Amino acid sequence: MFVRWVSGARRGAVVLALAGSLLGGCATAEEGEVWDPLETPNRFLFAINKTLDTFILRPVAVAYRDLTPNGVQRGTRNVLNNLGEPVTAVNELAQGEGTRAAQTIARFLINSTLGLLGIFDVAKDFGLPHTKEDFGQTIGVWAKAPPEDGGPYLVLPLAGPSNARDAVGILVDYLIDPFRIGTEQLDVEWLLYARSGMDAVDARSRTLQALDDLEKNSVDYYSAVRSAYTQRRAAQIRQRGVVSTSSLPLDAPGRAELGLAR
Amino acid sequence: MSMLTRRMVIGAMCALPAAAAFAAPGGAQSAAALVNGIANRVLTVLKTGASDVERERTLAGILRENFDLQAIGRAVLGRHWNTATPEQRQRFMAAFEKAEVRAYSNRFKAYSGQTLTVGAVTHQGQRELVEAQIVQPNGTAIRLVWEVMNGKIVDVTIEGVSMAITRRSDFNAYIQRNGLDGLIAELERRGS
Repeated sequence: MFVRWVSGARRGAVVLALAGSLLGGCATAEEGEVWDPLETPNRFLFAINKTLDTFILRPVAVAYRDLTPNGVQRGTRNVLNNLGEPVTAVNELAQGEGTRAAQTIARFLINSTLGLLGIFDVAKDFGLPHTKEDFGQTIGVWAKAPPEDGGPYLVLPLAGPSNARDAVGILVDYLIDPFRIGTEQLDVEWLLYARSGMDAVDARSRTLQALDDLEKNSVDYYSAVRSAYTQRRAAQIRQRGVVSTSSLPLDAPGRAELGLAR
Repeated sequence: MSMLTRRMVIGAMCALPAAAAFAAPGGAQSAAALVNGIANRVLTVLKTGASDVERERTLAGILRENFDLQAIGRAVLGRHWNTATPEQRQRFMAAFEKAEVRAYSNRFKAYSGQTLTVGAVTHQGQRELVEAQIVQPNGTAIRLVWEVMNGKIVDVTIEGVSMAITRRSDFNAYIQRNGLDGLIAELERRGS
């Protein structure tokens, strides 16, 4: 077990160094365009991922969205969010957001117990809304470069759109994740795979509309995804400290609600 | 927080014509009202269960009336606009407009219980940014920002993704492979 971890860590260090050197001398080719020196292999991987998505992930995500009760979907997302809290807390700390890191840990403790292993987000009702920070965002916060510049754009096998910054982020988050370390120590790695699978289905089910729309209304889907991914990550890095779902105080007296009926 | 709340109160008040007199001069209130008005009209169309043709015609009208499609088209073509011939520009604008209208009409097929909440309005140079949030029936929230200039919408940003910037990258890549005439032909094919 330990040996495997060490070798994993060493491999990680190599990728980290490689990515770091790539991050060094980057400049965007054209104003507003994403730097993509590996476009040919990227397009190739994009096509493979697209095929896998069309035949496997997307149908599963559609079935999940349409056939599972909303309550189950919400509970599943809560559990997945809860398992992600420790990594978020570490990243918030690394970004210098001590208060939010403490809130995230409090959320994790409350929801893991009172929230029955995270199924119910009771911490939200205590005024502790969910936040999410990954190490790609942490690098983005640290870096002097604008958050649109994450180094060369990369399409990862299975994982999809990324860049040097975010690929390093995925790796670091994997290495520091207590859930992963715990499941490996206890030899229950199937839990890790189950979580990754659920994560993929849950995330895909929430991007169905947006990606369908993007594909249908773009003339070069690869470029549209590349641009959208880069902008979205930049927005996440810029929005540090803004809580995504409660950034608008919905119960403020001045709200103008429009579509009322359900 | 108090600043934000006050701005939101002002924004909401200005949605009411009677309250307009109290508002500070400027376009903030009209930008919020513009978005409110569009949202109400779109929801009305969707809720009445109009036929496909009827819905598409109404949505196309709303789009043409409230979006500055000329400005969006120019921005989206980027540097290729400068090198395009007058004839190419004209053909592009016509095809782009048609394709966008088609895309928007298809986007709103049916109303399935979403709620739109219009929030703060901020100024950025000549532009006004209207923040809003769509809450889906399953509880997921989508953050939107409308960019309004001279009383018309020039961009929509969804979860940090600007439609204009994404479209520009998309078109740019297509032009690099197929030329501007290739893009125009493709848009004409899609809009017809």
